[in-house]
Amino acid sequence: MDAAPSPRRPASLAETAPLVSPPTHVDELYAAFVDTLPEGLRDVARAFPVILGLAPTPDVPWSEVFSNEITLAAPTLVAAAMPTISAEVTRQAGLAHLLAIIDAFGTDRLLDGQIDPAPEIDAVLTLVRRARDAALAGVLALAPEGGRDGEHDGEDDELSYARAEAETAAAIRAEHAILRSGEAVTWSRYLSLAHAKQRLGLPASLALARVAGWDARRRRALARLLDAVCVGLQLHDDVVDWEDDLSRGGAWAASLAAQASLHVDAHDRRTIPVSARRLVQASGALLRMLEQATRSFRAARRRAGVLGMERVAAWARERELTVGELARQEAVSPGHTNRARALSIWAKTVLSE
Amino acid sequence: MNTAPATNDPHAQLRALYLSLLTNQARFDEFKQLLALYEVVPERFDREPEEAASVRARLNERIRGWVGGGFDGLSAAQVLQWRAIVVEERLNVSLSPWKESNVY
Repeated sequence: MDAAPSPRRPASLAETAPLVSPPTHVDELYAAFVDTLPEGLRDVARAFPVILGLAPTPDVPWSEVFSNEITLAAPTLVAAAMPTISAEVTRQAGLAHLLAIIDAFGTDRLLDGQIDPAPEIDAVLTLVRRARDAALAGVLALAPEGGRDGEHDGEDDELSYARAEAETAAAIRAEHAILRSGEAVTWSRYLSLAHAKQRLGLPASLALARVAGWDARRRRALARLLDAVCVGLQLHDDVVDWEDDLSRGGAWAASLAAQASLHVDAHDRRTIPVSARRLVQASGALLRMLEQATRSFRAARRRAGVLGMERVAAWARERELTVGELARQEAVSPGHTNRARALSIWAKTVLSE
Repeated sequence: MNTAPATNDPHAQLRALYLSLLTNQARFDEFKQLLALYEVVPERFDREPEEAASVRARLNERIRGWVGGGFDGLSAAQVLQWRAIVVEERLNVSLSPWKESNVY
């Protein structure tokens, strides 16, 4: 990517440009799910993007909520490398995944206190989980007999939403405890929790791989690919949102910066800046997070290429380049990523004219 | 980074300002602080209040210091637009800004 952006399109604008079209089929899947709900819960379910704080108005569909298609439509993308999988099975896996991600965001926001608990939200989330599990069970029921032999030892855990949910919730609770205490955190602890929070993104796609008869080696590669995608997105988000996160009680960037300051020589400690922003920017934590996100997208791109998922590989390559460029800019000018975000709407409005 | 506008093209000047803010935290902070001081009610904007005009003059002076003396200066309407986005975070919904927040 060119360091010098073209006159009418700033480099930072590429940061959010989707490589593929919005996954409108997720809207059809979600609408069909909503139709199965009791009448009194349907309006609440339809407004979930707004209720979860992910969209400004109720008319924004799920396909317009996220920047990246893979977030809600991973099974559809990975199924492209599984020619024996039917459209109906892909649809079932897609529904399971969509509902799993919606539940993940809902649970996270409830635990985080970003939304207030309400009986109707709980009721919808309960039915989301029930429909998610039923859809996944429907997919797994089609797995060949070999899907239950010793080749899959330990793998069944990865196909269980209950297990994934428990691990994710444990990771989120650990995260909240660390961030709210304001304690310094090591890089390895941060990465460990970042990985632990991604488990809900795996079961539906791994179930498809099992139905497709993929061997253990390919299934492991797929699990690592999806994990790398999720962690890459997570780390990038942790950089972009760190100031908002800090205002809500804690941010990984600040905790990592605090850890870095522990290793500063006493002589140099006198020069440590006091504001949280300066501490974070001076620590290099944002740069390290962006570099790690870039490595994750690179790993995802390579695995997607090996597994024959060209669309996923192309998307991961775009992420690798874009986040890598952000890392380079962050190294030159600490805080670049956050300033680019603050200025991006103005730039889109004025400089793109 | 040299952000001086190479021409008198207003678009190039705005781009130079954008790059200047993007690459320097102190400038970004000062720019945002000055925008916050520009208090005007857009609906009653028949005539720019004296105090607001003074803030805008100061802002344009600072910008010229960052991007070069050839900068024409931000108009009152432009300052209001910057302020709405950068300070008040009132966003153009047609651009789907929430998607940008949702890095996922």
